[in-house]
Amino acid sequence: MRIAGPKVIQHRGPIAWSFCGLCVGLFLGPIAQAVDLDLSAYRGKVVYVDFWASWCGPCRQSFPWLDDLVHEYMSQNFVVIGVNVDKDRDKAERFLSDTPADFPILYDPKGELAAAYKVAGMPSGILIDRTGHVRFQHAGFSEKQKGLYEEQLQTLLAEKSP
Amino acid sequence: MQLKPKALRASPGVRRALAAAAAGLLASGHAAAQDEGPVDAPATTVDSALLVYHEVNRVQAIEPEVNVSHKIDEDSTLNFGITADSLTGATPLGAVPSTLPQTYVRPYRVIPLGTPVTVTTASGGSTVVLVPPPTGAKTQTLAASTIVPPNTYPLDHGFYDRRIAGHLGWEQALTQNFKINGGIAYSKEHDYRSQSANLGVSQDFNGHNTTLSAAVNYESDLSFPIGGTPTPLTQMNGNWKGPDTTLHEIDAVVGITQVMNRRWLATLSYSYSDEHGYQNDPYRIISVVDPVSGQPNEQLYENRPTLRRKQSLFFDNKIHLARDVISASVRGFKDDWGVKSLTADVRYRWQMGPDYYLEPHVRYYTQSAADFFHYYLVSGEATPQYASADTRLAKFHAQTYGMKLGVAISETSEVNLRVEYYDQHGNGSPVGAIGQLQQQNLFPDLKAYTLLLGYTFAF
Amino acid sequence: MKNNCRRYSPKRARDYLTGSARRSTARLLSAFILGAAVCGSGGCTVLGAKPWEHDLMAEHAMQVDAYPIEAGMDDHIYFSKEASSGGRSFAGGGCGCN
Repeated sequence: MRIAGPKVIQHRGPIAWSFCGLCVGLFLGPIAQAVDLDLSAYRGKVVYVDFWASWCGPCRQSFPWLDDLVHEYMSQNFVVIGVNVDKDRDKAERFLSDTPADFPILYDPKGELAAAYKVAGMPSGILIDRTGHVRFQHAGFSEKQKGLYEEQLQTLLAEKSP
Repeated sequence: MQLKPKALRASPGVRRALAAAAAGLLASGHAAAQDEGPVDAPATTVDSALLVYHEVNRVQAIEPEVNVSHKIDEDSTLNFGITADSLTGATPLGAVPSTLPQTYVRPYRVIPLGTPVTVTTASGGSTVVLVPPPTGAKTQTLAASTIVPPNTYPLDHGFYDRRIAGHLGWEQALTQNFKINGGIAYSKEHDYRSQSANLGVSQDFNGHNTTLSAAVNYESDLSFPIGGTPTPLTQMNGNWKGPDTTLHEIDAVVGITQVMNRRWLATLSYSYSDEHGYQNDPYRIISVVDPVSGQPNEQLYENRPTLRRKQSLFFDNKIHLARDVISASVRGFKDDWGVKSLTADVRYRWQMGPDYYLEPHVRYYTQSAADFFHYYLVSGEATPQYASADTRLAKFHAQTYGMKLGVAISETSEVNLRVEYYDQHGNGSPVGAIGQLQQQNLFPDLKAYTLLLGYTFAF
Repeated sequence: MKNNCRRYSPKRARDYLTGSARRSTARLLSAFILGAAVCGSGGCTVLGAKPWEHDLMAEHAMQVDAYPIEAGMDDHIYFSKEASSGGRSFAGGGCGCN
C-alpha cells in the first residue's frame, strides 16, 4: 500500500502567490502545496507557527523546546506563534496552566487556519522566513527530530532581512 | 504594528487574534508560574482488577490481575502482567441424569505400590478408593469416587484448581507509521501448562486514519492429568495410563481500523486458528444408555478430533456522541468441528459528569452444536469415532446483562465496578430422548454472576 | 372500514443468519473493506478525520484497548463456557499524533 504524503515538506526557494480567502493556492509547489499567511507585521522576523492541541501528547513535549528556542533566538528576530485547534477552549487553557508557553497563542477552534496550511499531523511546525514565505513544514514532534528542526531554523535565521 | 488582513481572508475571529499576536501581546495562555516545569504525560500505567465469578450451583472463582505498561522512550513500550486464579466448585461430568444413583471415579493421587492408604475422603464429598493397578505397575492410583443422586444433573463436586499466568510484551515504533510488537505468555495449573509467543506489526496510512495490523501467535500446551490421560471411548475406571499429551496452536489475525469520521472508529478483523493435538477433556465422560429404558449402562471417556481449524470475523465500532460513547460489535465464528456462532455486543457509556460514568451492557450469543456432540450414545449402535457430551459444544444461546460504574479519581486514575449476569439456555429435552431421559433435563440452564473491581492509575 | 394495518412479524435472530439479511450484511462488510483499503492507499479523503480533528479519537473511552484486563477476562470467561474464541485485533485509532 502506498503511504499517503511525505511527512516533511520542504520548499527550496521562495514561493510567492497571493492567498485569497481560505481557498488554497492554485500554484503547486515543487513538492507540495502551502499557503502564505500574510504576516507583514512580522516581515524581517523568522516565524515558527506551531499547531497544537490539549489532547496531543507530543505537543506537551514540544512546548519546553519551543520555549527554549524563543529564549535563545529572540535576539535574532525570531518569534513562535502557537495555534490551538481545540474545540473546547477550557481544555486548551488547562493545558497551558500545566505546560506554560512563552509565546502568543492563537485560537483556531474551527480549524480554518489548520486547513489553510494543510496541516498533515499533530503537532505541526511551519517555519516562515524573513520575507514571509513558508520554507519548512513538518508534522509530528520527537526528540530525534529536534536537531533537524533547529538546523532548519538556523538556516533561516542566517538569512538577512530584506 | 497592525496586521494587514487583506491577504488573509480568515474569519474575523482569527484575524483579530492574529492582530493581537502581531502586536506582541502574550495571549491569556501565558502562565505566571514559569518556574514550574511542564507536566509530563505519565510514562507508566498500572491496570489492576479483581474478578469474583460465581456460576449458580457450579464453579466459583476469584482472580486478581495486574498489568503494567511502561513507556521506555517515545518509541518503545514495555508491558507485563501477572494473574492468579482459584477455582472451586462443581463441573458437569458429561453423563446424563438417571432415576437411579450413579458412581463416578476420577484419579485423585498416584502413590508407590504398597504404600498404606490413610486418606478416605477427597474434596467435594467423594470417597477415596484404591484402583487395582495394572500388572507390572510400580504405582497405584487413588481415585475419588462420587455418588450422583438420582434425578440430578451429574456434577463432579470436587473440582478445584489454581492457576498462575504471566505475560511480557514489547512494542516498538520503527517509523512514524510502522510499529512492531512481540510477547510471550505462560500459564500453569496443576494438570495443565500453556506457553505462547506472539509477533505483530501495524502500519498507519492516510494521516493515521487507517491502520492495518497483523499478528501471529504460537501456543504449545501440555496436559498432564493425575495418573495420566484416559484412553478415549473406554469405560470409566479411574486408572489412567495414557501419556502426557500436547496441543499446538497457531493463530493469525489481520485487521483494519478506520477512523470513519471525527466521531466513529471502526475495526474489521479476521482471524484464523489451527489447533493440533490433544483436545479432549480428560475428566469428561459420555453415557451409553439402554435403547429402551434410557438408563446409562456404560460411561465412556470422550474423544474429540486432534485437528481443529477456526475462523472468525469481528466488526467493532465506537461512536462518540455529544458526551457519551456507544460501542457495538458483531462477531461471526465458524470451525471445522461444525460449530458456528454469532455474537452481538453493545455498550453505552453514559458520561453522567466529567468524572463518572455508567455503562450498561448487553451481549447476545448463539451457537450451533459440534458435529460430534451427542447428549448420549445408545447401546447397540456403533460407537462413533468422535463423541463428546460437553455442553460447551452443544447448540445454545446466551445473554449477558451488565452494568459498570466508573469514577475518575484524578486525571490519570480511575476506579470501576462492573456487575454482570450471564444466562445460557440449551435444549434440555431434545427430540427423540429415550425412556427415562424424556423426564430428565439434559441441559440445565447455566447462570453466572460476575463482579469485576478495577483500579487504573498512572505515574 | 377496511383494516389497512400490516401485520408486523418480527424476524427471529436465526433469520439474520440466512438469506437476504446475510447478503446485505456481506455487502456492507465488503463496502467497508473496500472503502478502508482505498482510503488506506491514499486514494480518498472521504473517510477519516482531519489531523486537527482527532480530539474525540484521543479520549480514553475511544481507545480500542481502553480496558484491556476487562476485555481479557471477558474472553477468558466466555471461552470457558462457549465453543468460540477470540478474534479481535488491538491497533489503530487514537489521537493520530506523530
